[in-house]
Amino acid sequence: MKRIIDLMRIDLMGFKGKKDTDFKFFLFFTIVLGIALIFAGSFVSLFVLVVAIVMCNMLLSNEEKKGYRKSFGVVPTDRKSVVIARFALLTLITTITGIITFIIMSITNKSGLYDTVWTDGAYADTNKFLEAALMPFINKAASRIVFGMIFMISLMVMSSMLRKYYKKGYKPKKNAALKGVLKVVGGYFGFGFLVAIIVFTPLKKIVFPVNAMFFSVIKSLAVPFDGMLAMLLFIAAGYGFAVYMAVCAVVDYEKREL
Amino acid sequence: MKLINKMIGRAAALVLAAGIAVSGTAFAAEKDEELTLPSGISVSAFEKKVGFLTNTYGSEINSKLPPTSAAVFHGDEILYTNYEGYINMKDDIVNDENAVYEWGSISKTMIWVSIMQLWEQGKIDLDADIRTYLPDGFLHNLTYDDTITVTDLMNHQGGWCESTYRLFVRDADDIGSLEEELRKIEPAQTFRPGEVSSYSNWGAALAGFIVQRVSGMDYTEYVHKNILEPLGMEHTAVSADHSDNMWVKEQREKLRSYTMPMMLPIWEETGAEPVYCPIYPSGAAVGTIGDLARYAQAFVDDEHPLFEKAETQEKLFSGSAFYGESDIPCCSYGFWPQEYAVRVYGHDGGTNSGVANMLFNRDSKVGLVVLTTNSDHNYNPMFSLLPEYVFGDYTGKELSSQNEKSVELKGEYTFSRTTLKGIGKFYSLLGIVDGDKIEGMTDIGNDVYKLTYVDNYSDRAEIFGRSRYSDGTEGIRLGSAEYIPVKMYVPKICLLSAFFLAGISAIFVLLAKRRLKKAKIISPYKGEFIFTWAQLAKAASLLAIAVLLVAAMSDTGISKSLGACAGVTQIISFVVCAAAAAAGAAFIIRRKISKYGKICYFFSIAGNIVTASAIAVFEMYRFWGC
Repeated sequence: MKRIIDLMRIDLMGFKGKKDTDFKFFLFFTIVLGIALIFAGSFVSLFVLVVAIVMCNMLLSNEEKKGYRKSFGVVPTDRKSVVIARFALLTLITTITGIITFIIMSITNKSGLYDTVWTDGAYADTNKFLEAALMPFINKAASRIVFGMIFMISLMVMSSMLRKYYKKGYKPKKNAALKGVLKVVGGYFGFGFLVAIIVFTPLKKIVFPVNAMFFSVIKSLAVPFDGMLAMLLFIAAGYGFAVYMAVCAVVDYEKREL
Repeated sequence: MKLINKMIGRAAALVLAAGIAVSGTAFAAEKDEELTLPSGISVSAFEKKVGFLTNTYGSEINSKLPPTSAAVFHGDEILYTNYEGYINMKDDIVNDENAVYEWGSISKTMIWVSIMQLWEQGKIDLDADIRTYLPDGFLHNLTYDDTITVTDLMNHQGGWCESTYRLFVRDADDIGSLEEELRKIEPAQTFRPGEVSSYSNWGAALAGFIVQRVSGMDYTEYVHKNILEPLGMEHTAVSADHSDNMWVKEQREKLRSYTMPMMLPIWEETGAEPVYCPIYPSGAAVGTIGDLARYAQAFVDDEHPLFEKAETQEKLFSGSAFYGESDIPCCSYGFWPQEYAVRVYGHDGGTNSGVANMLFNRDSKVGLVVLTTNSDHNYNPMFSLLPEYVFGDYTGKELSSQNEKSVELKGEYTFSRTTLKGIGKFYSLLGIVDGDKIEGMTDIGNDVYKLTYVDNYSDRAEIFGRSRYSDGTEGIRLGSAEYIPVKMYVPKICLLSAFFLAGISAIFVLLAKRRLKKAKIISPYKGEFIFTWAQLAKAASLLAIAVLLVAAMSDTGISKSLGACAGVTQIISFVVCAAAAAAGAAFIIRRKISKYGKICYFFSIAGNIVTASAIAVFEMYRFWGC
């Protein structure tokens, strides 16, 4: 255990000397999400996803670019511990970010910021459409479910990136963090394309009932404790996936010729 | 969905408001003697409103429309008819008076009329135990010994919960006699008879079987002789495969139904292959809008063409169940009273291929019938807004008083029309309403609740009743069903969630173990065989539930064979998980295991106990008799 904690400390030290670019990106995204908070609190949960992707990229580029791999030469360790330490560190960072984000989201929802800005006074009638469109993000239970889903996706993306690294290695790219986010955006449009394929082909006969089943289950799990149960289920599934990816990464890294 | 509904409704209301503003003076200039509908508008104004709505809807969709047929009548006079859209868009077959539609549950009203006819003839006693009219031992799935009266069947208070198994079949040759089909899918009796209203297709079809037994005629033959022929309804079929009227059967084959996938403005054709209702008295009727109008007109006719005595028709609409202790009826011998600006009676219906509505006000003798094959009927203003145009909005103002007090509901409620026993028991947890979240409901006395809200910029109200049950709990009565309190909701939903989690975790553990074994990182350990099988069992149990849920949402529902497969899977899973939990406990107690090993065994035991408990508590194994 001590060895794993030491390895985590080394990685944390690496973040201190990091170039400003990624932090500027962080700052930009934080401002964007801060503005998004005016619309609804649950937008802020996207921050978890961004942190997970950016931190993962930063950690891996540190290892490759700054020679942190060499530092493991002076710390007695094995491949298994290195993988576990990385997974543990990034999971911890994602979890802490998640907790902070959840607190911010809860405060925003509780403060009724949305109600003040959009539904009072002159805006009351003109923003009916906006109100309807954003309602899923405003409802307490729905915002928790959205948060749980984004948290789960963050853990899945982060652990998949790490596993890929330990399986195939890292090829440094310019603006890796930005590219990571662009991948997410690309994924979003890719998802839209996939939906279009499903809608216009016989695939829908299978996909629609399955979708309906998921919505039905999620909807019912959203009732108890104002969506807390569904949120915890999503998060638990995310951790389950991360653990599985860690196991696979250990196996892949042990096998890999360095 | 509600939001989208609201948005469309609001948009429609805005458009209509503009339309009325433009043509308001024209309405005022209509001739004085013109009939005014219960909503307060003249027939010509109604026609203009509907015409405006049709044009707007058509231009919004920007394509051909699915067929919607509507008729408004006053006594024996048809005031308005509309045949909108295409019954087959691909082949350009335009909707007209010869188009036939599936009437769905409106078919049930023929059972109730038949029962009242036989009651009038003294052949049926509405207060008699239904077992008097059934073969010995016909009902083999009863929980309570209490009498089930014929009136209980008409009020949907026989106590049967929703059946897990399918109501429709694809192959007409699979359909047996009504008696056989009823025996095949007898649901569990989960409520004390006469206590809880739980809309039951099976219970209604059982009443159809009683008609058959008492009259000595096949149900189809009875309905033809005593309802369709006296009313001159020549374009209606009532048998399961529609073979009792070949013209209708041929017309039905031309009909297509349409849906908008994911709310995209593209119509997807469905219903090319008809599905059949084996317990046909409950929902197999097919016919034209003209025939449905003729049928509805009979109920406002002072000549009472369906009954020998006027008193029988009066009794049919005198109310057989009431909200709380009030005289506001919530059921009238199988017909559903509804409060608009006036009280109307009727029934609606829905199948995989269409939706239908029949409403009439007996005082004004005005009625409305609407049929469509557009399964997104909630978004079809032609279907959803017409009742308001004819009968007006209900505001509940006449029930307002100073003694009104707000109702504070506590706890969780589930709809009584759900599966409460058998492999689908967990469904009851999938439609929970949180009592704390219901706002705007007031108690207006006599155990009647009023819910007021604003929709389309106008005040509206709905009436509910408080139900008191023999176990001391209370529920909320809607028209055809009730919201009943769920006991031990939090532990149950936590168990169900833990069951999902155990299943998902088992899948990850199995995958991880496979990877580690392949890489020869882990070596065989004590009890590995049983634990691996337990992980497979947990995953299989979850998969079985997922398959059932998907099948339940398909066109034909869950088949008996699928239910049996799922049930057997759950029995095996239960045995394996219980054995693995016991083995895990034995290993922890008897063997020296590392701290890490103990944690692994502990999680394994917990997962197995959760899965086995969920299978037992939610009766996932019980594939028979539900």
